[in-house]
Amino acid sequence: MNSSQFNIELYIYLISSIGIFLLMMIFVVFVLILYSRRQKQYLEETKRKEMEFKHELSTVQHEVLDNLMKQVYAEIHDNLGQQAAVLKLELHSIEKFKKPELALGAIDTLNGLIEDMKALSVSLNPQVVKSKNLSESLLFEVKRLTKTGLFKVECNVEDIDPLPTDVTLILYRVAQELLQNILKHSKATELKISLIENGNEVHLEIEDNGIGIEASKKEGVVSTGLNNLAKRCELISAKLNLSSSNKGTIAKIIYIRGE
Amino acid sequence: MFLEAIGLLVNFIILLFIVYFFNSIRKEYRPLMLVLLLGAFTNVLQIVLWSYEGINFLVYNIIFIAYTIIAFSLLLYFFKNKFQDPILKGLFYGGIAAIILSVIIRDYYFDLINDSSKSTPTPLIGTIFIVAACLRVLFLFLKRVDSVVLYKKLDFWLVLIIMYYFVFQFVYLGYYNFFYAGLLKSSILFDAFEYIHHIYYFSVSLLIVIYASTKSKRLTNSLLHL
Repeated sequence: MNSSQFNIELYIYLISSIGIFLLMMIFVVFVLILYSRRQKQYLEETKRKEMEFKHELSTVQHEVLDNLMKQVYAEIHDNLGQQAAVLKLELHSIEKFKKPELALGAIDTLNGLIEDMKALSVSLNPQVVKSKNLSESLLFEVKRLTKTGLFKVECNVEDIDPLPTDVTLILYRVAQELLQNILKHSKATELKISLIENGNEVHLEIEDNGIGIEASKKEGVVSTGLNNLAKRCELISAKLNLSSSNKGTIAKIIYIRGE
Repeated sequence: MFLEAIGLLVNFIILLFIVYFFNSIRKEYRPLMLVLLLGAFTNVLQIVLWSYEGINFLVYNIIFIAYTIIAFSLLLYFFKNKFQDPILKGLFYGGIAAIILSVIIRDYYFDLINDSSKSTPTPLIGTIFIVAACLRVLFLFLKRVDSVVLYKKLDFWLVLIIMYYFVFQFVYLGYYNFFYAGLLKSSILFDAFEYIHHIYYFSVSLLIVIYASTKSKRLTNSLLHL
């Protein structure tokens, strides 16, 4: 190889080396710019999701309160009101028939009334409402459903480790909505509710032997409620899996702690 | 000889530094530390052997090839382990297979004595895999965007300096070949490159040790917030 040929090769080599380094510099700048753009989009998206979450949470809180009010109304109207009416009749009977032994029955009714009022006031205490965990809230719902006498309820609710308040509230509200749907549209006679903890996973399962979602839709039930439930589960990174046939519906919610 | 002395000093400092920091180095960065430790040790060994019996390409090749296989495998293992990605896993296994195959196929390489003209493609193959892994990691950074600014991520700088180092090494090897093929009339260019290489290797090693060490986390943070 002569000297001029070698010099050309060396120059090409030098220029291409400098070119490689320059290209790498440009590449890094490009990566940084692209990252900052994507990050901006990501932050906007996160902010939007956060706002959506807050909005949904406040809706859920309102719905829970609304449901509670309805339950209180039903309790006063159907139970306490009836007991008070019975007590009134018993007192009238004492006065009319002048039989003091009838007072014993009246006292029993009054005791029942006092007990139910106490239970109602405890359930309305904000401290008690706030400190309720998911298991307790679900058991409360089970008790309420059993009282209706419409279903044979099978319950397997474990006492799980406390979940974040927002998650508890949303999961409880989703469960409540599912139970409400079963009550309104499923025509079910049997109901299974289970809440179990498996490692860092929380499994909530609600099963009924009703007519299924498709049949309910045919009867004019709109499925926007189910979409809403899925959206709420998404907000807390939980997975809602619905499987339905004409023999019933199974709703499975899996929440993974720390996700 | 002066160059060798500089190299020896640099590698000695790196060795001491890594040994001092090794306990405080986070587990996932230990393969990198082993690479640096091995690199410094290999270099010291080579220089000692050279000064004892002159440039012997057989000795150089055996030491260098052993170092190359282990170092590239460890580096690829670091990427696979740290970033948990199927493509990086593929690059790890593919890289090891390619490096070992390149040594096996050119087995006559070990029979050559004092002949640098038939250099092994192993470093080139290893470099290609490492640079590919670095590019994949940069792509992963773009894919897994979070709220932390990219230039405040230690792993980003770490990957970047590894990538730059290997591209630099690649260019340096070119000069090395020019020099030993007797094509360079003056050794100034090669010497300059050799110095830059030593300084660069030294800074890269120090940076990696600092980044990977929990002991010097405060130092790293203060450096990043400058």
